Amino acid sequence: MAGLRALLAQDIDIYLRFASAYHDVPPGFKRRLGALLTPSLLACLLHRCAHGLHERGWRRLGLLVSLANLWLTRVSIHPASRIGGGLYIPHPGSSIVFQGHAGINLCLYSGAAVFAAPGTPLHHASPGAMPRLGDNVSLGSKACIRGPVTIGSEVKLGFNARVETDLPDGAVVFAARVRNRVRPRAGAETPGCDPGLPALPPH
Amino acid sequence: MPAAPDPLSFAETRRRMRGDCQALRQCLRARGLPDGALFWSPACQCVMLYRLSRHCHVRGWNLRARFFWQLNLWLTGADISPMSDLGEALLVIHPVAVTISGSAGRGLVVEGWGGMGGGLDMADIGAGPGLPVLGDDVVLDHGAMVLGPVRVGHRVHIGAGCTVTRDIPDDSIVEEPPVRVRLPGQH
Repeated sequence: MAGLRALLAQDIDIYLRFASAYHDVPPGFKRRLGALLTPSLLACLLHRCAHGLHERGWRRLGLLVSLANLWLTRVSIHPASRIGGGLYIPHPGSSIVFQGHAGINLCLYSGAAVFAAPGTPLHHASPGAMPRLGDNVSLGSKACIRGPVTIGSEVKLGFNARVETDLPDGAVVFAARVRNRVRPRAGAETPGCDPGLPALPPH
Repeated sequence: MPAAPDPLSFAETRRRMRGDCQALRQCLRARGLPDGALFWSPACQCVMLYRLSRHCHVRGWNLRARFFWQLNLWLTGADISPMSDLGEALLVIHPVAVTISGSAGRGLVVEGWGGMGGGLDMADIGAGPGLPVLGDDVVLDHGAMVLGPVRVGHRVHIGAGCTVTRDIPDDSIVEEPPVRVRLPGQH
């Protein structure tokens, strides 16, 4: 229980560190407590509870709490996943899937996914065959790690990057660049600018 | 030649449900994973709820069809339209953020995050205005999408993160280019 509280306190710290960057107010007790109502921290809280129940041998109850996490916040994390303190999920409504183990300060952006293997439904994965992530790993939007791989610390995956191999500490992974085509609208003089709008003021 | 199954009968819906459960069991057994307690798995819940909503839709019970569709969206996060006709042995591995509208043959596998649906063109090629038609044994990997009125052939594997907006012939594999890894000290 004390371990759960300590992990959750680290989650709240990380969340408020990002949040107060926008407000410039040091967080008080009420703010820390109120932060637990945000979906980001609700997802963390429910996963910590599900993992605690799973570790105590109450597997079915842990599964139920992790399903409640899916219903309430659209974050599905396998109850056996060991995740260190400072889990940060900025946009939980965008359906994050996580079957794996991670160190401290894991950051999962929208649609990030960590799978044990292709074709393994969430609650059927075996904890031994899950990917292992180091500390301070950050997964960008729609980034994906798949298979029983080992990912080092301080690794960053960019948008849409998909990894199925081991990565050393400090690696940064980019998806292949897709160039968008920009063409002028019919009747427009310059691409991307609507001739009906007034020109932007100079900086 | 056997008579075509009656799409209105519940027996046909039940037969497809059995096929779906069997496909999920086979998938789990092939990976050496336990195949019990399927009822608790969102992967199973999502396909069963889709089958019920499809059955109600075909019968003309639109309110009930909508109820099961909505329940599916709440419980599993999958938006599988009751108007889409999907063959038996349907497998949705991670149902969150899966959107399916269109038609597909038997053995469709959707890994998660993506699916199929309308694009910009509203032509009707058999699945409804602007919707794709997929053949048998198609695999949509994580994040793959098929958009617009396109035909995808049999036994096609659409790789992770690929978006398909053109017709794909039988027995093909669609892949996106490999990722670039920058190690520490490199620029």
